[in-house]
Amino acid sequence: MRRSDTVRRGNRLLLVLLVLTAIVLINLDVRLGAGSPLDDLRQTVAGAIAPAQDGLGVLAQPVLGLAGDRAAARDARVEGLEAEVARLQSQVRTAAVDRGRVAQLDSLLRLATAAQFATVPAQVVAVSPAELSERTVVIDVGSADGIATDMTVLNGDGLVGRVLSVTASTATVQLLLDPAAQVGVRMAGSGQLGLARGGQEVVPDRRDVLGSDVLGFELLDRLAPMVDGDVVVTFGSPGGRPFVPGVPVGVLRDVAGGYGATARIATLVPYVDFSSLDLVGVVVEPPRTDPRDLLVPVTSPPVPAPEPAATPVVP
Amino acid sequence: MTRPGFALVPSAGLVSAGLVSAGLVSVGLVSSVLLQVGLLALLPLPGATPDLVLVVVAALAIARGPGAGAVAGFAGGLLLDLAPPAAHAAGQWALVLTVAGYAAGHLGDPRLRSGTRLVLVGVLAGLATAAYVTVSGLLGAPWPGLGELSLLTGSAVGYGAVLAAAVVPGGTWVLRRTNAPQRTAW
Repeated sequence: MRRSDTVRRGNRLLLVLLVLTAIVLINLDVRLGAGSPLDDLRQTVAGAIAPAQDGLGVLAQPVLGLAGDRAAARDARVEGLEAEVARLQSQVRTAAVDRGRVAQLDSLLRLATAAQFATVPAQVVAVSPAELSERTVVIDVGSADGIATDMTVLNGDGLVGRVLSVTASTATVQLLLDPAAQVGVRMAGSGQLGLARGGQEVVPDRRDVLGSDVLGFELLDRLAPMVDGDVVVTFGSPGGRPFVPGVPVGVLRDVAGGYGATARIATLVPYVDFSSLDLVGVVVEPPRTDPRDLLVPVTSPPVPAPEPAATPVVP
Repeated sequence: MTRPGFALVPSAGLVSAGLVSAGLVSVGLVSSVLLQVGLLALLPLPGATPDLVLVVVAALAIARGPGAGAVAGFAGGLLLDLAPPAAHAAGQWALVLTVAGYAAGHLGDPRLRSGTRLVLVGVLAGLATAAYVTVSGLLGAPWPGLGELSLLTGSAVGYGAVLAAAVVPGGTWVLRRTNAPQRTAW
């Protein structure tokens, strides 16, 4: 037998073995779900690369249009950030990127202070590739900063997601847009309950109006009123995990299903711009009381108001 | 004739050269995974995220052959499957990149014209993206739709070719410097 034939056959065998291994791994992970041995492996890999990933934030920052004193921002609690914001505001009026960061810290601070959330600010350092259906990011704070799984993540505009897993110095955040994400929400004002879901697609001709990153919304009480422009906030989970109450989620558009219809669904346009996520806050301590509708923005909604709806036909 | 590599006792020099190149490949794969999710995924580019891991795997496969390509593809893919922010069933990237690495080693040859090589890597990147979306779709992930899929695939071809122009010549040169056997099995 010629040597090249042996090599070729060995390569082919290797390919088959590796492909089979990959298929077995996929199957194991899907079937066993949480608690599969692959989760331990995942945790090990996450811990091993955490320092490098954390360090890569230095590279990520200019990419995200950020600069400035990240280390100081990270370890301080939001109360301490007021001074930081003032310092930054006075010092770095020159660069537009710095002004952007100040604005972000400022709005995060405003929201967290109003609600009396204790938050830890964090910087996004990695994002799941666009071709993957999952929508997750890595932030540069971890268990050493007091972060634990199922904590709420927000920014100055509203709800971002929840902490999926942590290492000592990094944490993975599941964004609201992830197909597996579900949030119990409440309509501001009426207090009607609903469910917001990630993994939604917008029909192409509505994309210019709504953007491509939207959530699905389902109203639980099918007799309750629901119109375009209604604002929804988080309902809150027991103990504030995974979601603290009262965080603005977004605005309802394209309300479908009339009064009393079997399904009352709408598109939920989130307040947070997920395409340019950089500075976020992790709620490490929920407020003692539900902030109710305190955090709902009074300024303009994230999308232009829809064309006036046709007058409802009253039978 | 006995199988090469099994009958021969490798000399100490060969072993250390092998270790050096295995170390280099590991470093290359780990840093490409970190750069892919920590830098390239953050860039506001249309379509897919530039698939640096695939390009590194392809560069290795072109220099070292299909066996090495398949192994590197499996390792790099598994790392992409496990490293944060990944939150999907592990093994999907490993599956796709194993086949991609094998194919790159099979079709690619250091003697190919450099332009042809770039096209080859670009096409592989596009196919890998489409294959990944299909595999995850089979496992229940939302289907992006034909328009979105063609945007993802098309952009992946372009990004793959551009990255290959940066990575493949340098990678080939580095691997050649390690003096490990060229274009043989693992």
